[in-house]
Amino acid sequence: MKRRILFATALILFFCASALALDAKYTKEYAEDLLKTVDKSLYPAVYKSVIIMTTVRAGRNPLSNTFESLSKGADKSLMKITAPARDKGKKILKNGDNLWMFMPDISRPIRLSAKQSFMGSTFSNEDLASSGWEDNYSAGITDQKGALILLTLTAKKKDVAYAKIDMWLDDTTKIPTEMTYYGLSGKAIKKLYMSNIQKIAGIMRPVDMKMDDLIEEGSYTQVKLESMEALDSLPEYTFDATQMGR
Amino acid sequence: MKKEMIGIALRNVLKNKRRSILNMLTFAVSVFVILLGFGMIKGQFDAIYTRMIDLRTGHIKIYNKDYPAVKSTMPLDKVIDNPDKVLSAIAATPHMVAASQRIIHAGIISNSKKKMGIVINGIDMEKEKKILTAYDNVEGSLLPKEGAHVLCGGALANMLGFKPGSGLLLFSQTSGNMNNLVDADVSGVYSIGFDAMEKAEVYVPLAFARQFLDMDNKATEIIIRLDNADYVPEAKKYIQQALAKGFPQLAVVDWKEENADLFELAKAKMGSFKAMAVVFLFLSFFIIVNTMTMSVYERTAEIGTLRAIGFDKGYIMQMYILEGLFLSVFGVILGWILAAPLIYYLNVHGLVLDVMKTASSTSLPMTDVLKAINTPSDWILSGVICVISGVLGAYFPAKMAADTNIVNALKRGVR
Repeated sequence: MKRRILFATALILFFCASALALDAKYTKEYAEDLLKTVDKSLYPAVYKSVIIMTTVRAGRNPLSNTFESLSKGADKSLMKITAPARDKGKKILKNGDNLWMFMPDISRPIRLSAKQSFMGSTFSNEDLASSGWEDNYSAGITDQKGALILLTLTAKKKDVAYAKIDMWLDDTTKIPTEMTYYGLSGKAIKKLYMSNIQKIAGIMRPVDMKMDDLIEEGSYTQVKLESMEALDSLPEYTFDATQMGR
Repeated sequence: MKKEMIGIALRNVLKNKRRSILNMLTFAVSVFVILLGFGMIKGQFDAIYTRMIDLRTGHIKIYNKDYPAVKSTMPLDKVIDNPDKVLSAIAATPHMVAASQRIIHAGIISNSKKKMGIVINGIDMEKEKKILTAYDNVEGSLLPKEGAHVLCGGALANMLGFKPGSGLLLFSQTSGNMNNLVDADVSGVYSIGFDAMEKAEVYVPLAFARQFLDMDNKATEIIIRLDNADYVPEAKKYIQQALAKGFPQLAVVDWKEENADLFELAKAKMGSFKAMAVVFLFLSFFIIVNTMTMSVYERTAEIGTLRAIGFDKGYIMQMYILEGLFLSVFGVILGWILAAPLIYYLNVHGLVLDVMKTASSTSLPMTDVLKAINTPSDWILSGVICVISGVLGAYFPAKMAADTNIVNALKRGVR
């Protein structure tokens, strides 16, 4: 019995010590400010990029797509598939929380459901469409390992995709390295790893990303940023669903 | 005169026995095929409807009135807000065996190595047992009142290697569209001999579904079983009246509306069978045209003699049409006699199927015994169709016989 009490006390002390190990500057306000800046710091305001996305699922052939993307801010982007040949010409438009897909054969845009998987990948459409983290999540710093801090995002409301997101990021560069997405029950659903940090379009950012599907062992989607170029501006009609056929 | 004509027509039928037997047999086969086809298709769909009622739909369902239009997307925002109150309001429905609230939503099930898309059915097991037969053959145990337990189909269990007690992951999105993933276990594995359903439908306790999908005290549907499908119109009317005042946002749907796509399929299948029956009838028609035309050629001189001694064109024509009528009537009677034992057997005993083996991979649920359903109207219809076809088939040769030139016919001499 005494041993159990001792063990429990030690455990409590360990957790208290861990909590106390956080730098004093990591306040709630600091975390909220960090959340606002982290997403914006990864991308130029207006840019053009080329992305290669490869999805691997157990027992299936890997699925690879190359996208040319035009983006404005965090909530507007137009992705055009350039490879493989069978998908060439397909376009995906993200405008706020709305997503459309244009297929040359159908010649009119189709609204995509947020719940669907994005092009058969581990990402869901809502993973791409969701923006405005600061509106939907409250942030707190819950752990620290050297320069890496754990930013824990907790959903403010019930109509967001994830109940909680754990984001490990480098406090000096403000670049995330790992993100874990949790469901309502508190169980982890997906895990995103970001690596190979390079200066691209004048910004230090991870070039490689890998999203693990925690529901299906060995399934993941790898995203490689091939190029990124900052632009002065893009006309608004670029992100108009009615103009996708042009 | 009429008696004479009938006599000649009958004599002609009997004179060319081989030809007449061939004609009669084609009509007999047509009658046989029509009776068998109609009976089996009606029987098959009756069995499918019964299975659908037993496995999926019950006799009546209650939905939010906006739900049926978007049912295929299984939304959680078009729901029944106070299902307990609705159940109280319909408690006195005539002939009702049981009613139960449910939550239906799309999800993913995984053994952590492989995942599959499924439909999650949140059910009240105790009540559902009285409504559906899907839970009659279960390895392991039925669902408890609450907890993260899953009753899955045999086909899904085979694909994911599940046994009673196996651990699994269940994923879905809540009513607020938030992702949710939980650990659960397999309480039991049900077998119904219908792969499509066994692969797709899993059952969980209603209380767990509410918690997992963040549904508070709501349901997506209420399912109702009556003691007999014949009482559906009466019970439906009662429920509609009972809900009209307090629950105007709800819609009452019977099993026929619920299985509307199946009725379309039955219509399509009956349509293709009708096309096949037309081919058989055309064959009979063609054979009778052919054989009677040959008969007209053979009896040209005889026709000429009859015409020469005063029989008019109308008489000759009627004589040949009567011959066609006799052939088809005898053919129909022969067909009925030949079909009767088999049709009786199929209507009374049916074909015994090993549903677990033979029908499990079909896209529609089958019963253990597939019975044909033939009504007296099927017998009459098959006979009438064949007789009309026989008379029509005889018309053209009859016309040809009536138009025979008397002098030319007599030149050939009577054989």
